Amino acid sequence: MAEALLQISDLSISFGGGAGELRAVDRVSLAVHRSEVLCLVGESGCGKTLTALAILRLLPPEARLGAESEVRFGGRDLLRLPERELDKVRASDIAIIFQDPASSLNPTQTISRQLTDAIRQGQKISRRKAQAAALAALSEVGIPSPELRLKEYPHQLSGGMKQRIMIAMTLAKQPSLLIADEPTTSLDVTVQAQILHLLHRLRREQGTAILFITHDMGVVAQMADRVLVMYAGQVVEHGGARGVFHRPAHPYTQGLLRSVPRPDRKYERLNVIEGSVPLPGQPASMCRFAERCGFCRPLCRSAAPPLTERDGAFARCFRYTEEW
Amino acid sequence: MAGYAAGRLLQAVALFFCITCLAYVLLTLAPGGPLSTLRANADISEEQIAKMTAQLGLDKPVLAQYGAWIGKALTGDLGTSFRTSQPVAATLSQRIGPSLLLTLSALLAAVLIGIPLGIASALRPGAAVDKLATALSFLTSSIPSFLLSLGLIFIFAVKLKLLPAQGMFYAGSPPTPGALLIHLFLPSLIIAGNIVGGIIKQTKGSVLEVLGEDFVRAAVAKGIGRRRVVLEHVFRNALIPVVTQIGLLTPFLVGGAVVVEQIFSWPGLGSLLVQSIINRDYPTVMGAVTLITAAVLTCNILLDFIYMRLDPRITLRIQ
Repeated sequence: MAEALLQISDLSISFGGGAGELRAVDRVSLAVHRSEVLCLVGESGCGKTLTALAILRLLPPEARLGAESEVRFGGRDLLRLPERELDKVRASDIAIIFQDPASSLNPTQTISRQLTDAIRQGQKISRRKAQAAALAALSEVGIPSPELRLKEYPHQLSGGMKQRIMIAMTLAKQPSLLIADEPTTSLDVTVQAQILHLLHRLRREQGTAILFITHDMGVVAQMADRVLVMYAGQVVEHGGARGVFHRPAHPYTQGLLRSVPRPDRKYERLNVIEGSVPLPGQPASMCRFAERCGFCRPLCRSAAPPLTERDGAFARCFRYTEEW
Repeated sequence: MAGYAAGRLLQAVALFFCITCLAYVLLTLAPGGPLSTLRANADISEEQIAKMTAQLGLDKPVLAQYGAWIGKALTGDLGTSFRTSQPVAATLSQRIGPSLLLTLSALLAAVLIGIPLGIASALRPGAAVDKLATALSFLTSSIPSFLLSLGLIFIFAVKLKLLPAQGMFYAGSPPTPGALLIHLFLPSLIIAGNIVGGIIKQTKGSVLEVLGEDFVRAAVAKGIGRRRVVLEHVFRNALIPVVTQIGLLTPFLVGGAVVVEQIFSWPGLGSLLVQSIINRDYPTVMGAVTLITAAVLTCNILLDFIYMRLDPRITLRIQ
């Protein structure tokens, strides 16, 4: 396989020190290839957003990275890049959009100012040219009367409009990678569809690779080329989207898929995964999903399962190992 | 906008009447009276005093006295001083310049010291700057300004002989801007001390809060660099509550000026006010109160408009 656009290896993120150390992300490795959409799936608190933030070093100051963590992009390790060099990557190569568009825009600056700033950071052009590019980007993402919108402040716009503006910033930058952290979670369903459509187009027309973070399996089905499932800070399954959907390997993924409502099957009780996510401080020498798993055997409580290959996909489960 | 301004003005006028009325009542409640020193003089008969009391209108009920004063004041006549028989308006116009100079330079000093220190300590919590800022805000808020004044006069004027202890200029030499600056130094810093702690704490708190906002993270993600993130995104948003805080602190500025002017013999409204209160010189006290009240009220209205300029989400509407 050709060299990946983005390669995260052994990324660990922890909070607090000493005995109270909480490991929120535990040795996560993943690769995003050119022009592909990789969906990072998992429930709240599984570490997916932290993983995304770590790529551009946007973690809160109290978060600590593991020593062996590495984020390789364009032949360099972003985690160890000087701030100034990293700013260049942030300005033109990797864009990120966040879950809540309302709070991601500065309330005291006009849309025009924020868009042109972003554009001029990536390419050194005059303010007027940037203004024109901003206008073009706004019409590109389907914002009606963009000239008026440019003069407005964020509080004058709807949530969907703001997320489109965030995407417009990305469009104008033409990054090779877009990190989208639950970009549609806070939006109406109809607006959600429009935003997903926009992201699809971005990938198709500009060849932008997308690392798409979500907990919504419906969105995964629409967007993903490959899927990576996280549970309690670890990768528990990854593989092609089709494979993961049709033959989920890890019991957690199976549970996730069963808990998606199916309109074609009426009067069926929706499945829930019993129990709750283990606290991050639990012993490392067992399967983290054991307490909630229907397949659990004594083996699962005595050792931590490795990521094991199964038909070209990987699952962190003993069922696919020799020991089972 | 015009409607808002008119509404605010109306509120200010109502407040103005309340404050001046209260001041007048409090003034007459103070023991003694304008003529109490005359009573001590054996050469002045009771009859003469009664005549003067009637002349000055002091025999009428308090509210009637206030009514007479405000009636004249509204026509622009602030009366004449009981003490010097000079028109109050003329005395005030001599005193207002030095007072404005002193309080505005104190405000400027407090802002120039407080805001940068607040920002720096928020950006590096626990660092030397942070500790210095905390120490400064504790010290300035806990030492009363009369004590600080005496202490600093003792150190800088008496012992080191570096700075003058009183007045605006050197006696007997022509007034120069340089001399003025040297004389301004201590009193304005001491008045600034009354509010600098509040500004530091508010700035630090609101910068810390804004630093945790999503849009700051989004700005960092744009790659514009830490300096621009702080200047263009953090600073302005953090400033909004600081402006409010400064508005709330203006009365302390004025109050501090009253004490400090007296100690430094600064020829301003504050020292005039203190002397006039001691003399029970009602017209002069009321004149000074009028000016100070008007200044604080104007200041608050101005801050509202600054507020609106800073935060586009705010539209001014009268409740």
